[in-house]
Amino acid sequence: MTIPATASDACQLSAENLAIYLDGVSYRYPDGTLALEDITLRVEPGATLAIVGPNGAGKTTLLKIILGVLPATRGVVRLFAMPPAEARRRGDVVTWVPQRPAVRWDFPVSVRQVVHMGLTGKGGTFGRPAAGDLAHVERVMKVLGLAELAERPIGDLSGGQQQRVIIARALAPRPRILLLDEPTVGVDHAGRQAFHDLVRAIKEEFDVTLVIVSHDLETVLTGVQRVACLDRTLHFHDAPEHLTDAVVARLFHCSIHALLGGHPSQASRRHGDHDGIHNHGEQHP
Amino acid sequence: MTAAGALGFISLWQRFLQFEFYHQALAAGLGVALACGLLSVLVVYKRMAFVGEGISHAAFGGAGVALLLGLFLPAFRSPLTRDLVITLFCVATALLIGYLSRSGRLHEDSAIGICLVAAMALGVVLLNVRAYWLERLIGTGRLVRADIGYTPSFHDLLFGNILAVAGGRFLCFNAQAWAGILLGLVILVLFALAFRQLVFFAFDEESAAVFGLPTALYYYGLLVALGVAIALAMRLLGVILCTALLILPGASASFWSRRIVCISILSVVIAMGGVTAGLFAAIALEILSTGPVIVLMLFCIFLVSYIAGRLRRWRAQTAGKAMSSARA
Repeated sequence: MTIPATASDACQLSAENLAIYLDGVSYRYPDGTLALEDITLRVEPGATLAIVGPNGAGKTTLLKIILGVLPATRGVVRLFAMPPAEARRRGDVVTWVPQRPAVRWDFPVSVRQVVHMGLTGKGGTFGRPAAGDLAHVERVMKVLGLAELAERPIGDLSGGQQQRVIIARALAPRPRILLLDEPTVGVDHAGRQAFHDLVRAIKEEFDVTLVIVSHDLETVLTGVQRVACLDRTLHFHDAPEHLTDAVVARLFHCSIHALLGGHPSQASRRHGDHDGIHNHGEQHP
Repeated sequence: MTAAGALGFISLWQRFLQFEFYHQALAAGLGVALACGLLSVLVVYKRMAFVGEGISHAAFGGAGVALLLGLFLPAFRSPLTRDLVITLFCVATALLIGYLSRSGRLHEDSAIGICLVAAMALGVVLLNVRAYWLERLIGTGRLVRADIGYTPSFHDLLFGNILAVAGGRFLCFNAQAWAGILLGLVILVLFALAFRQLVFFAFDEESAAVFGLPTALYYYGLLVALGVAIALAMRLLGVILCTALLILPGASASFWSRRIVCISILSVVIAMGGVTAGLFAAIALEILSTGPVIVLMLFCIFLVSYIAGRLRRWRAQTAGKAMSSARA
C-alpha cells in the first residue's frame, strides 16, 4: 500500500529512522467490533501531525495503541524502532496529554509537583529526578507561562491553566514524541488561538514530534504540517493551505473521510485509491 | 487543671504502667497506626474506602478458617499462626477484589460487595461448625477445653479486644506488637522512597501508567499492604471498625492543609493520637472493646477538623469578598 516515491524516501520509511511507524495495524474491541483497520502511518522525527476524525472514529484507540496501552490486534507498531510497551516503560520516549485527565482537581498538590510527576516514569519506582531534569522542568513551566503559578495548588487554577499544567507534565521528561488527545474540546475561539500559540511555542522550544488528535478541523488547520483523517482507517491529503471553505464544508458532510496534508510517501491510502469520492487532494500538484 | 483532675490522670497513668498488656496493645496500636495513617492518604484520595471495608470483613472469614483449623490441628492454636492465617486470608481477598474489578467484567464496588458478604458468611458458618465440633469433641472426651486456649468471641472479632493483643514477649514486645511495628516501619520506608511515584499513582493512575510507572504493581501492592494492615488492626479494632483507621486519619488531615506531604504527616499523627487516646479512654472507662473507643476518638478529631476546615474556607471567602468590595 505504501509506495516509496524515491530512494531517499525508501530509506526514510524504515522503522529505525521514524518517530512513529505503524504498519497494517488493526484493533478489535474485546466484543469483536473492528475499531481500527489496516492503519499505516509514518511520522518523521520533529514532524507535527494532526489526526482528525468524527467522534467514535477510533482516535483515542489509535493513540492508546501508539502508547502501547492497548495491544494492536494485528500489525506492527514501532516508536524509534522500539515496541511501544518498551518505549513507554522508558518514560522519556513518548508521553501524552489525555483528553479529560481523570484527576481530582482538589488533590492537594502544587503546579510544580504535578509537572514533576512527569519525571517519575524516567527514574522508576525508587528513582529521584536528576538535576538536569529539574532545570528542564523550570524551563518548561516558563515556556508554558506557569512559572508564576508554580507553588499554587492546582485546584486554584482556571481550566486553561490546568490544561497547560498537564501539557507541562507531558513535556517534563523531554519526550521525543508528544501525543495530544482532543486538546481543544470545550474551548472557545480565543482559547483555540491560545492553543495554536502554545503549539508554536512548544515546537520552537522543544525538540519533539507532535501528534494532535481532534474532531475539530479548526484546531488542526494552523501550525500543522500534515493532517491525516481517521474513520476506522487512515487517509492522507495535501498541505493544509489547500483546504478551502468548500472543502471543509464537504468534509464535514461526508463523514470526514478525507483530509489534507502529507507527503505522498506517507500515504497509507490516498483518498482516490480508497473509494474515488474524496479526491480533492489529488487536484494539487 | 484541678487537683482532682490531675490525680485522675496520675491514677490512669499508674494503671497503664501496672498492666503489661496495655503496653503491648499501645505498641501494636502505634505501629498499625503509622502504617494505616500513611495508607489512609492513598485510600482517601484514590477512593478506596470501600475496598478497605471489603478486606476488613474478609478478616472475619479468615478468623473462622483459623479457629476451625485450630480445633483440629494444635499447630494453629497459637495466636501467631492464627494471625498468619487471617493475614493470608485478608491478602487473598484483597487480591481477589483487585483481580475481579480490574479484569473488566465487574465494577469495583460490585466485586467488593460480593467478596464482603461471602467472607462474612463463611466466617459465621465456620464459627458455628467449630462450636458444634468443639462441644462434640469435649463431650466425647477427645479434647480438653483448656487445650484450645483463648478463643475470641463474636463480639471480640467484631469490635476488638485489648486482651487479644496479649501474648508471650520477645525482646520487650510480643508477636502482635512486633508485627505492628514492623509493618509501620516497612510502609514508612516505602512511602519515603517512592513518595512522588505513589502521589502520581493516586493523582492520575491512567497517566502514571502511560508515563512508564508499573501501576498494576502499585495497585496490587497497595491491596497487599491493606490486607496486612487490616489483619493486624483487627485485634484492637475488630472487623467492623478497623477500616476507621484507614479512612478517618486521611480524611481528617485533608481539612488542615493543601499539601500532600503535610497531609500525610498529619494523617499519621492523627492515627497515632486517636489510637493512644482511645486506649487510655478504654483503660479509664474499664472497657475491654477498644475498637469503638478508638473510633469515637478518631471521629471527634474528624469533627474538629471538618469544622476548622469549613471555618477556614468561610473566612477566606469573606476576606475575598471584602477585598473585592473594597476594590469596587
